[in-house]
Amino acid sequence: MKAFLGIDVGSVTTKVVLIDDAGTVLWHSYGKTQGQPIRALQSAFAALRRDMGDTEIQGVGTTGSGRKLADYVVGADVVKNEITAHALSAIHLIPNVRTIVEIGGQDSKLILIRNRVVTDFSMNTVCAAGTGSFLEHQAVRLGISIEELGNHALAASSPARVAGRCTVFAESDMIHKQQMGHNLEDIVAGLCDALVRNYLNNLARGKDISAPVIFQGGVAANPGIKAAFERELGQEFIVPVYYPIMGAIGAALIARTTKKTRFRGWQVAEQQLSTSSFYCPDCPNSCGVIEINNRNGVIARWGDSCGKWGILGG
Amino acid sequence: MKHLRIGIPRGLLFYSYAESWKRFFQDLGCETISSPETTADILKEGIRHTVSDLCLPVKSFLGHVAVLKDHVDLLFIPRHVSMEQESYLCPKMIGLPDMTRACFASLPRVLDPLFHVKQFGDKAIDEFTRPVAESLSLTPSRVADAYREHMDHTTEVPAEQHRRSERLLAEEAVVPRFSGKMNIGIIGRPYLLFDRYLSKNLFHFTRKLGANPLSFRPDETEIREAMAVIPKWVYWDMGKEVVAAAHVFFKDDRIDGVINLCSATCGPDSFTGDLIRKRLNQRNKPYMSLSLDEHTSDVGVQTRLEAFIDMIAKVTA
Repeated sequence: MKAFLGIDVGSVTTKVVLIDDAGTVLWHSYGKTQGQPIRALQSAFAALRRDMGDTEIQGVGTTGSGRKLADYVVGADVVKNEITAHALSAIHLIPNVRTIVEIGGQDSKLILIRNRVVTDFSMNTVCAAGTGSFLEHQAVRLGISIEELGNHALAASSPARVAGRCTVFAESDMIHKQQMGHNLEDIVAGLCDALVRNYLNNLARGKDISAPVIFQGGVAANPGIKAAFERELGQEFIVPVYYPIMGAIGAALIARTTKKTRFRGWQVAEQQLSTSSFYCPDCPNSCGVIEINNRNGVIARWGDSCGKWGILGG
Repeated sequence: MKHLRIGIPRGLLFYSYAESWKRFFQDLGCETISSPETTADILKEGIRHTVSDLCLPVKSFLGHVAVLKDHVDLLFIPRHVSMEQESYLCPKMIGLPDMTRACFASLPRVLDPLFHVKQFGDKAIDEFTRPVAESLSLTPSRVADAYREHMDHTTEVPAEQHRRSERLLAEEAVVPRFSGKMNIGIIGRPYLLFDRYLSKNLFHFTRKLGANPLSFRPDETEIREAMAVIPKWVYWDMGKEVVAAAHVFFKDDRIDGVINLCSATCGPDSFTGDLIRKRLNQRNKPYMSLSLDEHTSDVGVQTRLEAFIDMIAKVTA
């Protein structure tokens, strides 16, 4: 069988999908990146090979903040930014989509689409308040799992008011509320409201959020956030079946135009790869240079702004 | 007699006026030394010497002060309050000499003449030149002559002034040169746009992605035209230029999209950014505001830039 691979190496999770020519998802995986994107990628590949090892990979697309790294490890045909990747998959699966709300581990996006064309977008700027990492951190602090967080929020009778502009403020506000005696459900619901307010303030000011609104990214798993958005905007938020892997699907869709793939083959899963880094001492810019090594030495190097260290297509 | 060495930190208004400043001091018999282009180390020095609430370009400026301070007799850090009637520069620029003194334990003498047209009108030049004359032991009239010759931004020759500055900004200061490729208008304060390090090499990466980045400084007429479109004149000197550049780019059919480069905590930019988006982009041209901060990585800027170019190219269609 012939198929196309899409890889989304995000800051918190790594997603791999396999699609056919028509864009149908044949296989997918979703795992924590845990600060080790290469290992996360390799374990996804080991599973992929076990399940779908007889597939002939005809094209590979990568996206996410680790898209370049994934390219070096796997051999990609297309390396695409997350905005375009998310827009492509949403348009493919829901052709009349007009708004995409995407909240991932470390960033959030708003993409406006009219007649299958992106007309405007925004990404969260300098802070990660209002993203998945923040929710997860608070869930841990409250002693509940991230999966349960949303249901707790839905059970609230009177959501507490929590400051959402900054995670540090939100956290101290939540602690204050809990010491005042607010119950867990109300605090969690207040947290969801705060995250939604933060998102709308940062990304959606002055933007026309019109239906259908598609809600994707890992945080779309949280029914508390979905409900908070719907309450705030008075609009339905549609969570697509493949909400956590939409970026990877988008990357795979773009790879469908590949003529001859650069895919390094299934041994990707077993390569002994390690990374190292150094600060180049040759000029005051002190660029941080990253190296990927296999058993035979350096196979890729990048991060220098002048290009003197870059090898293998850096 | 040994020439006095005047240090001019390469930051903030340097990117607008350095060429005139240099000629002014050279005419007065001084030697001028500027710091090199911003590097990671210079910014790190600036951050080390300052409080975290300041904006990126001010932090970088203080890094340039750190680089220069031990190699010069005087540091030139003018206090520009207003360049013309009814407008002001941002409070951080107004307080720049004080902030610099507060951030360093030892400094050479700081020459901080006041430039304040709003308060002093035609007398602003005298206010500016008097302390310079004192510091350099010259007669006020000689300094005022040099000023009129090289630095008079208030007379009716701004176009010429702008051209001079553009030459100074060398390769990045592109006078509009349209190409058959995708043309992207880039607006923002000169000290961000033309500082390769702070701007994360925006011009370079735009070209690398196959688009043509364009930037220019609007003249008086263009500023007046832009101000006529919005509810009231913009209060900030430099903000006015950014708004006017946006207006010109939005009207020009050859421009495919506009990027507004600003620093994350810039007060004036947060106002002008909103004006630009809501009032000037009436034809709904692709527009993106890119905000810069201390992130060492270029990835954030590049992701947004790639997505912006994809959007203009309608790749999802």
